[in-house]
Amino acid sequence: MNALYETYDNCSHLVGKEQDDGTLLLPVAHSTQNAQVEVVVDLHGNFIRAEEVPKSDAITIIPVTEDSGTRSSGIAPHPLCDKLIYIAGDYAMYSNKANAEVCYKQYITQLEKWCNSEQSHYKVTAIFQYLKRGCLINDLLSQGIISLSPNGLLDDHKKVQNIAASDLFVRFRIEDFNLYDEGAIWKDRDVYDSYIDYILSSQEGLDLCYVSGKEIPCSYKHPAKVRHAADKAKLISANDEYGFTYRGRFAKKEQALSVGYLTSQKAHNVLRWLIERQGYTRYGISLVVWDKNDKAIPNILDSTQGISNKMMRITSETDIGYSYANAFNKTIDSYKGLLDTEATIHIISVDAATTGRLSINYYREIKSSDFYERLKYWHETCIWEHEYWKKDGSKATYIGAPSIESIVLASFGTEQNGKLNVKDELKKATIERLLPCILDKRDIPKDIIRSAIQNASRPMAFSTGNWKRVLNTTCALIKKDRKYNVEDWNMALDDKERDRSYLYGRLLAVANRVEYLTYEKDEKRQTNAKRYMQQFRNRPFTTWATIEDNLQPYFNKLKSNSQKIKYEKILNEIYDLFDKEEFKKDDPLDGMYLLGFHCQSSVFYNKNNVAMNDDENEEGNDNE
Amino acid sequence: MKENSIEFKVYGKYALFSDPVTRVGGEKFTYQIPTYQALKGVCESIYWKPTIQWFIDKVRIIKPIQTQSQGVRPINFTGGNTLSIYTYLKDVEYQVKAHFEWNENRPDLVNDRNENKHHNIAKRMLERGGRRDIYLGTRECQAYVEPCEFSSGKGHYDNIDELSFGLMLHGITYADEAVTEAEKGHMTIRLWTPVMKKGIIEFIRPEDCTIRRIVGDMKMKHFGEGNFIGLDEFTEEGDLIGMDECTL
Repeated sequence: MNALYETYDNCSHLVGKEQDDGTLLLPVAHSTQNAQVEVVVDLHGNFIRAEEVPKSDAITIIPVTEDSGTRSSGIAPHPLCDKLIYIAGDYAMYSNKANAEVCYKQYITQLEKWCNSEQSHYKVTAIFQYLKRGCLINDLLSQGIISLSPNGLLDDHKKVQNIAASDLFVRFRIEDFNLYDEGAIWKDRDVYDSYIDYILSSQEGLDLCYVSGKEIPCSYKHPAKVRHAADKAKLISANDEYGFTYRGRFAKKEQALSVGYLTSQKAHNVLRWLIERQGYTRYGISLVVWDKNDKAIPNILDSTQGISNKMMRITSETDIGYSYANAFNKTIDSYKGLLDTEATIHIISVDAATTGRLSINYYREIKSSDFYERLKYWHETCIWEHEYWKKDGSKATYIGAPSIESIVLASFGTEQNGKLNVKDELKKATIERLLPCILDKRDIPKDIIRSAIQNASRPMAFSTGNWKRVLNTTCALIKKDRKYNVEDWNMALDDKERDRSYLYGRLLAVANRVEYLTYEKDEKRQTNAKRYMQQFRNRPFTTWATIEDNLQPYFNKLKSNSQKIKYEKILNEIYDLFDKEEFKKDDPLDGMYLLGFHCQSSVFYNKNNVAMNDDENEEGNDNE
Repeated sequence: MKENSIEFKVYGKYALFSDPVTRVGGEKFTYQIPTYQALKGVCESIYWKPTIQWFIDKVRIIKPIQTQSQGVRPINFTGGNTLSIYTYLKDVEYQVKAHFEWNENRPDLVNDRNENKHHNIAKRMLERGGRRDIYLGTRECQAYVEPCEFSSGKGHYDNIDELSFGLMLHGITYADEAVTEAEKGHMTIRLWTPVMKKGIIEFIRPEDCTIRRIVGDMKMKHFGEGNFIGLDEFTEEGDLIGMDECTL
């Protein structure tokens, strides 16, 4: 809370200004509404004209009172711009709504108070002058914006921007030849300030603010709409007068907590703005990483590629591998350059279990130097080769860390309609558990790795593309896991490695390759190696015997003799590396076998690609 | 009066020292570090009599601070249930140094002010894991106490010079232990800004907290006929059989 509150003060120059990306940091005691009608008056309160507001320009900053800001039902007029029922004095004549007169009365007395206060503003007074006459509906009728139905009431069938006539929201503009600005009072900082000063001076009674520690006017009603405009959940709520959330020790909610009005408004407005601008909002959670001085910060959940791309926009698409590491480092350094090392980075994540209450489910503060060091560490250790599709449709690879979301999908995903899916709850919980792995260099929880290995061992359960994604991500996890045990596995094939699982993985890759080479052009079936993969993992020795038996026909089917010799040679090389006893043991393989499999496979694959398809070359040689 | 202190470690799987900002709504979110009041409660669970009053001197954070959120299903008092998300501290361990002083608000117990007696009982009870169940912050966060030497062993924050935690709750001064005239007969909230140095937070005394808020009237708990035998057990000198008969 305190950090949010300070952020507002540091960003005060942005208040009320729409940013390039369309987000907006609201001033204290203000809210936004979509307006449908704009009424133009001059400084003496004479009606000039009214016009419809196009939808693209409808968002209007309006001042609100404590009550109107949180109103749901009941009468609580906004101080300035509001719906017709509140602001039009002649509304009752054209409608049979019972409380129309009360609404107007409350509204106009409230506005009068503001206009008569020391903090009043001449533009607001002009509007008050006009509305006091109570002829708004008449004027709108004469402008043809709304019309009457035969019974003399407002015709709701005629819609303005899809809103029924009786429900229109009105904003004001002042046009006068004595006025040199554009007169849009919802954009006028002087009007904001006038209202803020007014509302602060009209507050009575001091109490201790639990956030700032000062004796200031306090509020017991806090704003909602934190995550998005339709969000009812409140970060601070105390509606439970019957339960025992605070009752017991405390008799009233005022005893249990008091938070300053300004503090609360500032903190909420900032959080709303941050979430909208740089938050990660999915499945109900909203995660924001920010710095009090509002410096740009990379998205911690993103992959190496994602982070680098955002900043650098890598142009040469030919890059493979390490240039991404460079780009990433450059990106991080450029972010880092914006911050001094002592700055604090805040991470907050909010979620709601019910519609009414918002809860914080993660909060951390980290020194920015630590933050970048750890982020870098993550992107240097949790890495593997990933494939992606370039814009022109061709395949490319890069080496880097997968995004958090792809880790979740790899470990818990199941395929539905060709897409990997994870239940929202599980996804949220897993993301929360993975955050400390990045932010505190914690180990990745074993169950996530185990589950990913399990998934990667079931190629039959996924489409090829998805399975490859799962496999690559899992390899990154295994590598990260192993690196911790000071085994620095290269992405390249290590042909001296004697780890049992690794070697078995390589064997499987060879079997896979040999069978694949015999495919006809459009053959789509899975190889034996892939079909047996899961069983192979559990009982490598016995399963390998089966796979090897099945492999013989394919060896004979290979297009050339040299190919046959080549792959048999590789197999023998691998056999030689095995410890005899180790080979015969039928214990399940650990994750290392995936690394072996992937490394060996990519050796085949890359040779194919890079050296202009050496298989065909061999074939050519044979023909000669 | 000598400093009658005890030193112990308290550890548990979870802890929840709810921030009052989130407490009123029911979506509890924990502070990063224990409050003074929570540790005082732990001491009182180890051993307490109305004669004495525990003061927490300092706490040392041993394990890294990490949180975990959990979906919970609190029961509505009016029936049914609701859903919430609580955020707990996970896998916590603290070393605590505390001492007791006489509660000056209980002049009726002045004859019970026997330092050695209370100190020895407290130490014995600590060895046995406390008289009542120990918990960290909220009742579902069960914990255990063991005697230990303060600042023994390694802590995760030993090398971190200074870490501050912003404004947080220090505790609540109940009428029983109120010191100033204004606060007697009331309940008072105390706030402060703790700073951790090399893993250790030195608490200020409750009466030294400058940010305070009196929130309501409250009577002192009455100890006497009906719920407390007081010193009457010692009036019949040497009569041990009489002691056995009493229901305490």
